[in-house]
Amino acid sequence: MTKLSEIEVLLVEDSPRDAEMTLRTLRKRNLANHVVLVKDGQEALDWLFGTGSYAGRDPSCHPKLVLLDLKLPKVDGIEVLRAIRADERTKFMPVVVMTSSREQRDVIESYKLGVNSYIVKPVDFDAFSAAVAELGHYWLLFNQEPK
Amino acid sequence: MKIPVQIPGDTQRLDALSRPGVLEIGALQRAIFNSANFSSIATDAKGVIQIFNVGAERMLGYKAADVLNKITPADISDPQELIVRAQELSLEAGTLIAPGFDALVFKASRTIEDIYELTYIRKDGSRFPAIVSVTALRDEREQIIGYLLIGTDNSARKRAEAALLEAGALQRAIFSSAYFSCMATDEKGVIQLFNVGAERMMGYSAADVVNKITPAELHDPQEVIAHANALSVEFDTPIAPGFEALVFKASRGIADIYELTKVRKDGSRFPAIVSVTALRDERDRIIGYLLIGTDNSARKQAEDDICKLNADLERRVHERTAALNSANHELEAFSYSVSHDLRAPLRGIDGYVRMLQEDCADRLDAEGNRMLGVVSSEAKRMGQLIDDLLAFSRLGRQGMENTAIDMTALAHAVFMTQILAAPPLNEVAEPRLDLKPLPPAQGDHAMLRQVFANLFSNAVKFTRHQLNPVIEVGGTSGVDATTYYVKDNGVGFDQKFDHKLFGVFQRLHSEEEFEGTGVGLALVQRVIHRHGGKVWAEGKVGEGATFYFTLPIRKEPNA
Repeated sequence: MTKLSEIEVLLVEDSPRDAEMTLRTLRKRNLANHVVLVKDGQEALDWLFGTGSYAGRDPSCHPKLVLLDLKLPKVDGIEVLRAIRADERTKFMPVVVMTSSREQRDVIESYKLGVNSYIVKPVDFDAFSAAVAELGHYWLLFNQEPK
Repeated sequence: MKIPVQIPGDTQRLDALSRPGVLEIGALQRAIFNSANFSSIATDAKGVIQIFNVGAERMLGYKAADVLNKITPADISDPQELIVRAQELSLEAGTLIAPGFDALVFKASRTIEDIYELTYIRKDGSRFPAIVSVTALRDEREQIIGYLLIGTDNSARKRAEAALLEAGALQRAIFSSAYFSCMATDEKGVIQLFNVGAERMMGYSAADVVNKITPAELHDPQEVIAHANALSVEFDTPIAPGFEALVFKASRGIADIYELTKVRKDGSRFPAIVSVTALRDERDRIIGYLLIGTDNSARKQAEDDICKLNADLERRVHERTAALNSANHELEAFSYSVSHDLRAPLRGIDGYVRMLQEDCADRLDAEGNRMLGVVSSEAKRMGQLIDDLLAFSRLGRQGMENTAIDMTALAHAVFMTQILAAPPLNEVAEPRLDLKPLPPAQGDHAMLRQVFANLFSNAVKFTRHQLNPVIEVGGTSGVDATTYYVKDNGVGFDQKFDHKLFGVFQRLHSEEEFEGTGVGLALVQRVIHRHGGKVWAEGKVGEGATFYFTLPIRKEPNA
């Protein structure tokens, strides 16, 4: 049984292919054994704030990293990021946007909202898994966040 | 010859003074003869001038010596008028009268009082209208011994008459104009005069209003109240909302033109522009007012039309802008969708191929692994196509900066950072850059950087089999534009395909010969076109290619 407090990564990803590739890479590199996958923005917000289908989850238990896709069903990634930064309980949470979009307005909007990093998912699988592995290393092993 | 009058002080006529039987000259006569404003000419019975006073000298320009005993007054009169006068007198008298001196004195000779208007001709040939009174001079036996012609210059009166005539005509024209309403009132405002224009505009006849109402009753009452209130504030004194409000400024000697709505007899209304003048007597007391009005409907209508047109134009601009914006948004949504949705499955294809290779390589033979490799590389190629296409589409939409650019430095920097630093493409030798000094340009730095990057990478690509690859860059300044070129000694191209060079996804080489998506040159063309320049290429198979582009020279307003 995985305890809630042990969750290391919240992966917000609607594409099961991208999710599988991301999870596979993290697992193969032994970076994150405790990953929660949510498939749309609403589910992400419910999980983060202990509402809806995640009622009862303690929102003060943070993941060490949120990997956030931007184009999501229901509530898009930008809105999720906005909600995270607007709430005292989650505003310092490390959020890395991982998206297919190179559009400047997405990059700028994300940075305006205080994203910690913005990664464009490479089409090339080797590059993709290298990116996932590197950011996993950095945020899960090296980065220090406020207590 | 006998001279009937003597002129004291006139030295020319001293002989006349000494003659017996001459008339005693009274003060009046002296005054007349000395007057500079009357010409007094006395002749003998035949008309030969005997006396020519100072007034005559002044008016006619002759000296007495010029005319005395020489000519008759007929010689200084308009000959045409003399002929006409002679004819008229001949008809009147039933006897033939010659168009000479006789015509001037005929009536006087018959003891008929005669004052006539005649044009005199001065010594210098100029003319003036004169009024001449003719009297026959008789001796004791009533025999005519001569004639006295007293003349006055009638020019001033003629001019005054003409002016009067003109002023009268003007006044009549104004008062009978159907396009101006003229109302004159007494000092209390009661209408005294109501012209045809006023009748036509207002629908009242003069009889309906004269001595009955004031012009205030022909205006919109609300507006008269508002006008009175505004004036009360302006002049800090209470002004009644009636006739006083209409003429208040005029009564203070202030020129006043205002716009008010007038109400016709039938109750219909029209906008009028009214000019008000106070009428004053000689002692400057106001005796009434003149209100001249024009119907302003046409102008109002024109103003309204212009307003409507402007509003319509504005609405259409808004619609167009909205349509453009929505088209732009659609385009953005489209490219966003392409960017995101088209790439995601490609990542899936490549990713699952790699996972398959990682997990199941031992269960695939060499051919199976080769085929998986092809699937993977095709997916990557598609990814490159999408990226290039997106860059191309983005270029059409993004805003442009306009800065001064050192093109030599830019070309050098692009070559060093983007070409030499990239993984070596050339199979034989590193390409050499032959960079001539380039004229500076005005434009978007990032976009022009892209132009050099694409042209250079093209040149590098097509010179990669050369032993001594050289990329030459140069430029020349023209009158309106600067031309730049990028020349290589690579494989070149067949000029008959040059129209395909700059099309999106158009390629002149197979993927196996030279890789590429066919977007690079299309992008170059788009950047140059957005800068207002032209782009073209020259080449021959096996002899290299030269790409030219121009950038317009922007004239500084104060340069």
